Order: sequence, then structure tokens, then C-alpha cells
Amino acid sequence: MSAILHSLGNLLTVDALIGLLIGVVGGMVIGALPGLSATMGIALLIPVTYGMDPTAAILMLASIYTSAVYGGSISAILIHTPGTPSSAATCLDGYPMTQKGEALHAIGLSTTSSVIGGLISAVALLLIAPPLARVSLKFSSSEYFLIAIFGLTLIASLASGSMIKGLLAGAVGLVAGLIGLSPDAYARFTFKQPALLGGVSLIPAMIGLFSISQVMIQSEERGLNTKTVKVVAELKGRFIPPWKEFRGLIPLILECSVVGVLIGILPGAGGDIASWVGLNLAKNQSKTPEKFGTGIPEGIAAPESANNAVTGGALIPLLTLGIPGSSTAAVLLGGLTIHGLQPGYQLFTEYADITYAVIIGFLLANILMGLVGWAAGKYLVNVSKVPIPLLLPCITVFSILGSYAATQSMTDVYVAVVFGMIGYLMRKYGIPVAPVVLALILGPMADNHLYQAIRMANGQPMIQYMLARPISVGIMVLIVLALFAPLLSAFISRQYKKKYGDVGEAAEDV
Amino acid sequence: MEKSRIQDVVIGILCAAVGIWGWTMTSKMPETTQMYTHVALGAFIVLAVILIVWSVIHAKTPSGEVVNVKVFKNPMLTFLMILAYVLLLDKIGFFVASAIFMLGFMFFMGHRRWLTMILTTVGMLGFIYLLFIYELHVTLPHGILY
Repeated sequence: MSAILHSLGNLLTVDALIGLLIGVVGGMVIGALPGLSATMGIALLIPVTYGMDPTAAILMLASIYTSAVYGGSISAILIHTPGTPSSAATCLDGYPMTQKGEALHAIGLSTTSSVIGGLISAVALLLIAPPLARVSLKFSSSEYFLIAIFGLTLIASLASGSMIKGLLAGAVGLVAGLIGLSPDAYARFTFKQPALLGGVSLIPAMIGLFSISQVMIQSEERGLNTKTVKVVAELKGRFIPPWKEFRGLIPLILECSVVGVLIGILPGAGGDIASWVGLNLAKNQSKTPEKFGTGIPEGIAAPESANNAVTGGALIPLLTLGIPGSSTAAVLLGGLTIHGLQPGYQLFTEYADITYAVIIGFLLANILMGLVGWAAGKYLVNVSKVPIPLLLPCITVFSILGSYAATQSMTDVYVAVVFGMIGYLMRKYGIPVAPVVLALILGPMADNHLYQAIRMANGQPMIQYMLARPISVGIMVLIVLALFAPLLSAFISRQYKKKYGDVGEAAEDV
Repeated sequence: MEKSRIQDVVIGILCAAVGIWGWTMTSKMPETTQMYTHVALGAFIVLAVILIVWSVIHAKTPSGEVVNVKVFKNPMLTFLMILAYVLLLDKIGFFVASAIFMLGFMFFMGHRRWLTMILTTVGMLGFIYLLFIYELHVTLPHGILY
């Protein structure tokens, strides 16, 4: 409790509050823009945080995460185009409400449900993360090596299409992670270039994979995208849901929020799956399931509370064990390491003032998100009208600047450009790019800890050494379970898609 | 064989070739470095081979979208523009290179309203100046012009 109170001093600074505000507003804009995902937004804005205080920086990135998920629902409701994959389920009832002239009512429902979902996930993060972090105290190199392998097994679940291609993408990341000095200081695959001794820089690689590749993909529509999107209906209706209606939705919102938190904790399953599960839950409990898809409040409240609840849930394994369960979380992990913060027990002891400030700030971000949504939600859809030819050069310049700003080295800019091309080709040929990032983070971690574990084993065979350590055995069991998770996830996803079909166009969940 | 499967086979062959080439370079590495390097490269080669075998076994069912190479024209031109921009950064400085790139890229993308093009460029670069140079004190590449 004292750590929480102490952290308030860190939170109530001008820097942190500005970071919070920029994160919330920026996240909403990014989310509302079809073609930009939360992952890409965070990757682009990490460089902005270089000169910032770590609390303000991480808070800004976490706020972008939750706010972008909400922002995606605005374009889903108003123009039937989910801004993020998490908002696809919201289209089904959100857009029909807009067509009925209840657009503002629909945005109000989405805002309220998203805020509640986000708040519940923030409370879960505050209550679950600290005790879970204590477990990491008992970890040595053997366990950290296995944790890295466990993280790598998640690659299969991050692969949205073909599992083999997803795993191959992970292997691309592993191979790219080999470049640089090995743990015993051997210059591996550096081709006598001193600039490569430090290895592939994570942030430029992420910027290339997510942002520059997106610019290249959108340039395919050269000359076609100069027209702007029109909102089909006037924004009429009441923003704040009537109490009578809202009272009936409370149990559903709470239930979907809890489901969202649990899905967030599960590695590999993100906001998109949570929103479909939430919608299905609502439909199963409804006395009038046939009304879903015609524009009813339950069809918005359920997916929106579930997908925002995922955000805090996904931060739990990230902050405690360093396991990024989704591509957005992987990018956030990059943000943490840039500021010298390593996930684990230290985050809740040595850096408790920063960590708790971020968690409390995350809670505030969800409230602020509601207020900004209330004040500006209906105007936010205007960002969808920004012509693509004006947007793409801005993204490119910001990407190049972001790659340069970290180390002020042109080598990192070239890394971003090269990874931009790699990312573009991978995406064109159906190979997901998110596993590359995960492997780029976890590959070197596995390499270093394996090297240390071998030394600690002192000549004993590694497997024998690991089997003698109960926590290692536990993580091995988790690895085996994680290998089966994608099969289950794919099954659930297939079932929902069969039932509801594909909706609109969203940014690829890269 | 479906065209999408042929694509996958080519991807598999390219990846396997890169992996094998990497493996041949590991012979001079110390044993401790070699171990993990072999694990990573081995996984890469094995997965590439699995992709090839899988594609051959399922040759008659499509695996996804067939990429028409014509679609590469604009992205490759975009890539060349980005590359030229990056090469210019060191020569003529960040702000001048960025302004030229932004205006050129907007024109390339089909935008013809000069006022919005100039306003967007000035607004973006002004924002970058205020945030990165004035507030965060980041040194951006200088060239002969700025």
C-alpha cells in the first residue's frame, strides 16, 4: 500500500499527466484510423518517449494501447470499418444503430462499456501482478531460458494464418537475433561491420516491420485513395445511455470484462478473440438472440467491454514474467527495455514507484478515455477522412525519425528500411510479422540464459540439470500446454467466423 | 500445383538456402556460440523444409492469395523513394530532405492540392522541430543545407 501511495508522487507530475493525455488522445486517433493498429501506433511513438521520464513514457504507451482499442469502435460504428481487429464484432450492431439514427447512442454505449472493461482490467492488474511477480524471484538462468522458450512457443498462436508460416517467421526473428556479439563475445554474422556488433536494434526493426511495410502496402492503392470517407448518417441520439437501459446491461458488461481479463492473461489470445467471445456470451444469454445484428445495445456493450478488458489482462504476464502474449504487448516490452525496465520482481520492488504509477495511471487513462470519448468521440471519425496520400509521407518521416532518434545512428535507419522491405514481402506472401518481433526479443534472451545455464550446470547434461529443478519442470509443462493452445484458439476463431462471418476491413493485427 | 503453393515452395527454398548458407559459416565459431546458433538455424532450415513438403503434399488446394507481381510496382517505387530520402538525409539534412520527400511522395500518391500538401509538410516538420529539437534535444542529421 505504501508503494502505491509513494508512486502517486511519480504519477502526479506534469510529464506523466501530459503523457497520459497524449496517450489517450493519440491512441483514439490511431484506433479510429483504419489501417493503423495499436501495435503500429506504439512502435511509432516509442521514439517520442526517449527523452521522457520512464513513468510518463510507459504510461503514454499503455494509454495508447487501451485507447486505440476503444478508438477502433468509433469507425466501426460510424462507417462500418473497424479501426482495429478488436472492433470487428462491434460493427455488427454498431453500424445498424448508426443507420437507425442512433449513432451517438451507440458511441456512448461503446464508450461506457470500454471504460468499465478497461477499469476492471486495471484493477485486476493491480491485484494480480504483484503476487505473481514474486514467483519470478525463484528463477535462475535455467528458468529464464525456459521462459524464453515458452514465449517462443506463443509464436504459433500469434500466427493469424498458416501456423507453419508463423513459425517460419519466428525463425526469421531468431536468425536475425543471431547477428552481433554472442554471449561469449564472438562476432557472429557481423561481416566485419562494427555497426552490426550490437546486433539488430529492436525499435528500428519494429518500425520497419510495422510502419514502413504498411506504407508500402497502402501505396499499392496509389491514385485510388484521394477521396475521403463519408459518414452515412447524422450523429444524433443521446451519448450517455439511459439508466433504465444501462442497468440491464451491467451484469453483461461485468461478465464480459472478467472474460476479457482472463483472455488477456492467456498468451496469444487478444482483443479480437475476446470481442467475439463477449458477443457470443451476450447472444447465448439473450432472450431475443435473433435481434443481434439489427442494432441492439447488447451487441455493442459485450464486445467493447471484453476487448478493453484484455488490455490490463495482457499487461499481467508482460510485467511479471516478461511474456508478451500479443504483438502489441511485444512492442510494449520493447518500450520497457528501452527505459531500462526489466519485467519481473524488480519492477515491483526496486522500480515500484514507476510500476505502480503506471498501473494507477493506466486506471486513470481508462477514465480519461471515457471523458475524451464523451467530449470528442463524435468528431473523432473525422480522422478517417484524412486522405491517405497526406498520411503516408507523415508516417514515413516519423518512422525514419524514430529509427534515428534512439542511437542517432544512420545504421538504425538502414535497419528500419531493410526490415520495411522484409516486412512488406512477408505480409504480401501471407507470413505474419509479429512473430519476428517476439523472436527478436526472446531469441537473444534464450541465447544468453542458455549460455549461463550451461555454466551453472557445471558439466551436467542440461536436460538433467533442468529436470532437477521443480520450477523448470513446471515451465516445461506450460510449454507443452502452450503448443496445444493455438489449435484451441484456431478452433474457437473458426467457430465464431462460421457463425458471424467476416466483418468489414480492419488493420491487420500486426 | 496451385500457384499459391508454388509461391510457398519458392519461399521455403529461399529460406532453406539462407539457413544452409548461415550454417556453413558456423564452423569457425566457438563451441558455446555454435550450440545456440545451430538451434536457431536448424529450426529455420527444418521449418523451411516443412513448408516445402507441406506445400507439395497439399499441392492441389490453394494456401492463400496469389501475389500478382504487377502489384509490386508502386510499393517498389515507394521503397526507392524512401531509400533516396534516407541517402539524402546525411547529405542535405533532415528537414530539407524530409520536405522534398513529403511533397514528392504526396504528388506520387496522386494528391494535387498544393496548399494542403505544403500545409501538411510545414505542420509535420514544425511539430518535429518543436518536439524533437526544442523539447527532447535530439540532434537530427545535418547536411549542407541545414
